[in-house]
Amino acid sequence: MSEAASHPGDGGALPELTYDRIVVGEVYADREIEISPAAAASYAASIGAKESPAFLMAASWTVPRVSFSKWRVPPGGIHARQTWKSFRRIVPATRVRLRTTAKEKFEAKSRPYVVFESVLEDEAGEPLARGEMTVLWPK
Amino acid sequence: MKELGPFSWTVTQQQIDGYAAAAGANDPIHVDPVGRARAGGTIAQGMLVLAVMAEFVANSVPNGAAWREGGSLDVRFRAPARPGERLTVRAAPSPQSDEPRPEGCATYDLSCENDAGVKIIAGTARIPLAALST
Repeated sequence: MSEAASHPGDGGALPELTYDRIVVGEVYADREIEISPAAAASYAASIGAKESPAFLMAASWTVPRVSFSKWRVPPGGIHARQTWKSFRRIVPATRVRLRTTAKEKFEAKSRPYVVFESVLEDEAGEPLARGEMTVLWPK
Repeated sequence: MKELGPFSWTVTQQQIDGYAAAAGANDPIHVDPVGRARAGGTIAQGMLVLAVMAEFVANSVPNGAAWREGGSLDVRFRAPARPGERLTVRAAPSPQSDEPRPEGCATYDLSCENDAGVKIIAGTARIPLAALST
């Protein structure tokens, strides 16, 4: 979890992930995350959740500027749409694997959009959650 | 099925900063009030507002655990929320609820708006029937 807070998408020495460089089908994040009870509690407290881990905790890890460790994601993207389906509750003190793939690119009203699909699995490879994030990509 | 909520809270810069630290969502647009002063100030992370909405569902149904284990969301971010704004979340059975319920879920229209009536986030939540029964 600590890596989620390190904001890798800001890395100055990394190549900038422009809209033209995004390739549909390419995996942009593939990492294992250890869900520490402290991190889960911190996240729950920040949104006023009564129980930890909160429903959307793992979805927060899919944000490009948070999770794309091999690219510098330019600031200014606008989160346009989000889907999230939970199959099972994530459990603190376990490791999960998160993969995020570019699913689609399109332009609407001359604006560039990217749809990223994220899949969260437990250590046995069983699905925990799946979601799609549509981003108006920054120019 | 009955409407859930409403639930209201006021977004604060402290909450935005806390979420930034916990989730890594520390883009200056969220956490730099001084730098953003000429642009109208900071805005809350969309995922922060959505996370509060998801917890509202968990707290409003009889069996929140079933929501956490099998619920789903499909929402659009319509407008930014700014520190100091009071937001209200509502969830009402959707007209789609009369259609066949995929995966044993009920569809609710889920929305969050500010006191001016501006929709911040709107979409649907598919709530497992097990979450709605005691």
